[in-house]
Amino acid sequence: MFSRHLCTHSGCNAFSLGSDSYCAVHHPDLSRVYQELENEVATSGVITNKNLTGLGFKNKSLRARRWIGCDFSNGNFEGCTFDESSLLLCTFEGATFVSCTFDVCETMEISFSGANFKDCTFRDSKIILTNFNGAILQDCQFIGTDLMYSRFIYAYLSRTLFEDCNLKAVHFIESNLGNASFRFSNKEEAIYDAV
Amino acid sequence: MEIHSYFSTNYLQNTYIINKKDRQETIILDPFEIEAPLFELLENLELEVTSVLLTHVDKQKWSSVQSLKRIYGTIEVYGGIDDDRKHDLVSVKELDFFETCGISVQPIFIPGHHSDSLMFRMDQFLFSGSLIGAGLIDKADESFGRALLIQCLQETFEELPKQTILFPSSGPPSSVGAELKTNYSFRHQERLTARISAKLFSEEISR
Repeated sequence: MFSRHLCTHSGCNAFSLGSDSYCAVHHPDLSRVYQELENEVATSGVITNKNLTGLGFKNKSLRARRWIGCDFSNGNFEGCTFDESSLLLCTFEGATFVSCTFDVCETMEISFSGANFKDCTFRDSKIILTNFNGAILQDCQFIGTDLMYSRFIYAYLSRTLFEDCNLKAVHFIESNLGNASFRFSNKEEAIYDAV
Repeated sequence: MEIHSYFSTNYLQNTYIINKKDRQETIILDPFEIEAPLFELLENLELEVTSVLLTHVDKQKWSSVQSLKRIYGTIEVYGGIDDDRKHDLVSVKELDFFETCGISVQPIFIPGHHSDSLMFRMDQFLFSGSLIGAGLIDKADESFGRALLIQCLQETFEELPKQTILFPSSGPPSSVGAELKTNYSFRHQERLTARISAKLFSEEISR
């Protein structure tokens, strides 16, 4: 589910936050937005259709929730956990993740394009049809994770481990894989060249 | 406007369900197969299909349209085929805008691949069909067609707002801004053009 409204601040082309009229830059009371989101995460199992562009989260538990149609573009996530979460049709374009975990997580049709991951883990997860194009991954670990049909085009993977992962039809076109390790993964089924 | 996606595990393609909030009538974009889970999704959302948009007409999608007509009765079908008696559809290739299910739709014709290849823009969303997916552009039949396709897509994307969200038929979603930065075909084409220009100019200088 997706629904978007533009920020009502004159001349602003960004999308407004949640059900509010302003984007993160022009919002007069961001603390209320955080509080409302925190209440929703605490009380609801499914969070749908939220624009949370440009917001920052530190040491937050976003675990065991279903996130559908949410926009976290250019957000900052530090020490956050998405464990046991399910994410569908969400976008995290240009977001930064530091020491975050995505364990036993299911993502489908998610865009992490241009995102920055540092010291993050994806353990026993299903990261299917997910867009990591142009992303930078440093010291990240994918362990026992199904990455089928995901794309890492022009991605930069430094000291990143893919252990026992399903890489069928994963696109690594023009990616820098110099420091990536593919132990026990079916890397021969991945795609490295655009035909 | 609300968008729901359905991933066909048989065809590995995305079908999109688009409706205006609080309205029952809905658009289905590129139905590849009318499978039980798709029908269940429509039923759970209490939506009724009244309109189908096709980014390109093929046998498989047309068969799905016939199934939808048997289920929902009269359905308006929109596509890019001109003057075709075989397919009962409204050709919107030449239109700037049209409205269906209370939603304003901008059809964008992209030459270079099929003669009826369309993208549909609705609000801040672009449905690109199989023309462009995250990071890649579909193969065209021959090199001239491919170069034309890439050029037309790049020019179109440069005119669109960068935050426009891209929903392709295959693969994950993306955005116009991200594609301009990370699409292999755009970047490869730029490198190729730069190499050819450099060679041409160096030959001219040496003459």
